[in-house]
Amino acid sequence: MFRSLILSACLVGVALGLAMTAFQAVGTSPIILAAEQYESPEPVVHHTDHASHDHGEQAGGHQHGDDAWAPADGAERLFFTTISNVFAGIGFAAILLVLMNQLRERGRIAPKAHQGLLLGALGFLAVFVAPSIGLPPEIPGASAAALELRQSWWVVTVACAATGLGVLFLATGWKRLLGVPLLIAPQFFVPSHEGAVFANPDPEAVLALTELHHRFIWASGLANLGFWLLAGVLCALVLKRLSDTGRLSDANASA
Amino acid sequence: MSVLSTPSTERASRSGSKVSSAIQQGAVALFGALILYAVGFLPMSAAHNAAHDTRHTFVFPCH
Repeated sequence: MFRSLILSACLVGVALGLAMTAFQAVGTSPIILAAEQYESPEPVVHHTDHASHDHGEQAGGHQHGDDAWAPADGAERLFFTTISNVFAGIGFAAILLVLMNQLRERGRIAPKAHQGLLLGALGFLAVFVAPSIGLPPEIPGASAAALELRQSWWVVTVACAATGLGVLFLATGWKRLLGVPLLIAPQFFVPSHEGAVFANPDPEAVLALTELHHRFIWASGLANLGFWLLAGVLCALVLKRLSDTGRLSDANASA
Repeated sequence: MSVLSTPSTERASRSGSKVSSAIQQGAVALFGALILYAVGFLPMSAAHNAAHDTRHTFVFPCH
């Protein structure tokens, strides 16, 4: 079963990664590239601005300097973005497959496309919407609180939202309400950032970046919605196929 | 007799494979989480730069 699930996750992940690359090509990537034009007009100013929330030294050398390797713009960058998307797709698909299979084993869902859509929508709410309420999707050039703080908050928020939604949908009676505080609580602990929203102090750049930022929220939201709905459907179909061919049944657990 | 004994052995093997099934599924979920960590959270600058656009689009905290 382990092998079947891993192989399925990889297969679904490739499809999801390619789909996400397509969504990015029309949605988020042009905005990211445009925002990068404003990212560091004056490296010195940029760096002092960044110093307040720099995460370089302790975090094992995450720098914005030019010495770090980065894919060249164009085909190379697209290639690495696609690979990263595929890996992200595999990661999310592996977790979603296991969650769905757990629900299937308990008879809470049937692995069908419409159930997959519902679970995909819940995944979108937990992994995109919940953290985006506190920390809206960011474009390059935006200033924010320390990276480690935001990463920890992201993980806790996504875990709480997923658990909260799970309780809301799976518990019975009044116990459903126990899911609500899990959804709301992390929003009271958003790592806050004081000071300018963007590192670039030029008012014209700020105006352009603000507009790009608003477009980015929509573009990334739609891209992620498409990603999660597709993930839900594909995982449901894969699980259906695996259970139909007996590769998930307890008798074949070691297969 | 054999009719009576079969269900109990079946039950035993089923509960054994249930544990094995849970472990295997846990391993798959862990595999997924590790990959997501590598793509979205690894602080190495090369990893960050390679996955930069992915991190922004998936709203993993970036920069």
